Amino acid sequence: MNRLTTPAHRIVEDASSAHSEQASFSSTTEAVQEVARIIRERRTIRSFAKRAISGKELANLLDLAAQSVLLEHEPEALRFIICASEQGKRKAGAAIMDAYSSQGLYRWMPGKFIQAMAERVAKIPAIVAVIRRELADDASNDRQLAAASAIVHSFTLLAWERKLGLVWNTEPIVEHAALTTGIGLAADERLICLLYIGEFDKMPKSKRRTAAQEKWTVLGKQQDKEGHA
Amino acid sequence: MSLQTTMEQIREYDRFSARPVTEEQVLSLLDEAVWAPNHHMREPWRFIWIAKDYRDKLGETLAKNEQSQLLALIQEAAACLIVAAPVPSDEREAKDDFAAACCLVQNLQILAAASGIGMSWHLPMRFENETFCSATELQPNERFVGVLGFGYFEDHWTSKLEKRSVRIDIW
Ligand SMILES: Cc1cc2nc3c(=O)[nH]c(=O)nc-3n(C[C@H](O)[C@H](O)[C@H](O)COP(=O)(O)O)c2cc1C
Repeated sequence: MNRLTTPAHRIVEDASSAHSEQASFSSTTEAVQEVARIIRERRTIRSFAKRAISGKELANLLDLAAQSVLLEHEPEALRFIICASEQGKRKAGAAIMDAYSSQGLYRWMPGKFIQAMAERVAKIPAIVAVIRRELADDASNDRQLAAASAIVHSFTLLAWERKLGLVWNTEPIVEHAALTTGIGLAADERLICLLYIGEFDKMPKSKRRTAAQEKWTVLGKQQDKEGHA
Repeated sequence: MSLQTTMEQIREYDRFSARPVTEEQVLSLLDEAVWAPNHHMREPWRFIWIAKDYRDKLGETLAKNEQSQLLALIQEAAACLIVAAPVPSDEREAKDDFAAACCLVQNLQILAAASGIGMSWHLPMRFENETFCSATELQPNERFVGVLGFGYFEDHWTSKLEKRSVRIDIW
């Protein structure tokens, strides 16, 4: 076996035995294994069980997720709307369907398609809108998008740990005025994505990932991988 | 230990421990991190390991700029990795790919924390410094997703812990 494919938990074992004085941080083999398991097993969930979920619980997870992103950004220029009540979901659902059915975007879509989609949207247990305020320059806007994506992903993993699945929706509707004004975005606000969230009964199959080694470049002198440093 | 506990340990550090973080370690964390969601399985990322003897050369491209934190990372971090993403011509694909690569970086942040390793994440833009881009061999159809610095946590170092408040409305 290539030494470079040593599993993460082995390396941590080595590290912690060499430096046991680091005990006050709970960096353990189990910690890495548990985190790696959640990251590997997480799947995009596109069809949900009918059970309702709590908006407050989602808000707590989002808040925690927002603390876990260290990229410099402006948190006050990001915001989230969680639609979990029947009323809130109706409002979001109507705005989503307005965008789908409006002229120009999905003109080819037959009426019964729209109808089927409306029924699907109505059944989603919770919808989260991820919103950024446009900042003065491109660099800042890109960093806001990066930070928001990382927050969403931390949130996804925290939700997964609680058996909640989600899918990102970044279809062209997210830029459509029927949707953005429908959920009350200001003129300088952009909808990054919608998240559809819920419990699920069926777990989709995983799709194989390419090993990091295959996308790896070294700049500078290649370190001795056989360990005879 | 739960994911939540690990996430609560993620914090910013002023300094990096001198204790080494090896190429093998980072690669093994990356092999878990690549399980990030990504649209149409484009796996839109590439990794550039900056070996120790390349740090000065890379640092020199920054000296004239005011990116002092980035410079400190490149000079001092126990390990330095750059994550780059392709920029497809389709605007939606480009956004999706960038976002997916950010998910991968966040996976790395969490996996590192579980291993007792801190990670700082900087995001330079191509137009901010072309010399830096060419020193990293960033391709014309690529962009940075992160210049990442890794180092072990040290107990006695103070961490900057300011709570970020994002607005969350519940409907
Ligand atoms: C930035 C981003 C945007 C995405 N947009 C969509 C989308 O619009 N519709 C959809 O069905 N899935 C979307 N996905 C989910 C991906 O298709 C999914 O991650 C991929 O198929 C891999 O499957 P997995 O997440 O189960 O590993 C998106 C994922 C990311 C990271």
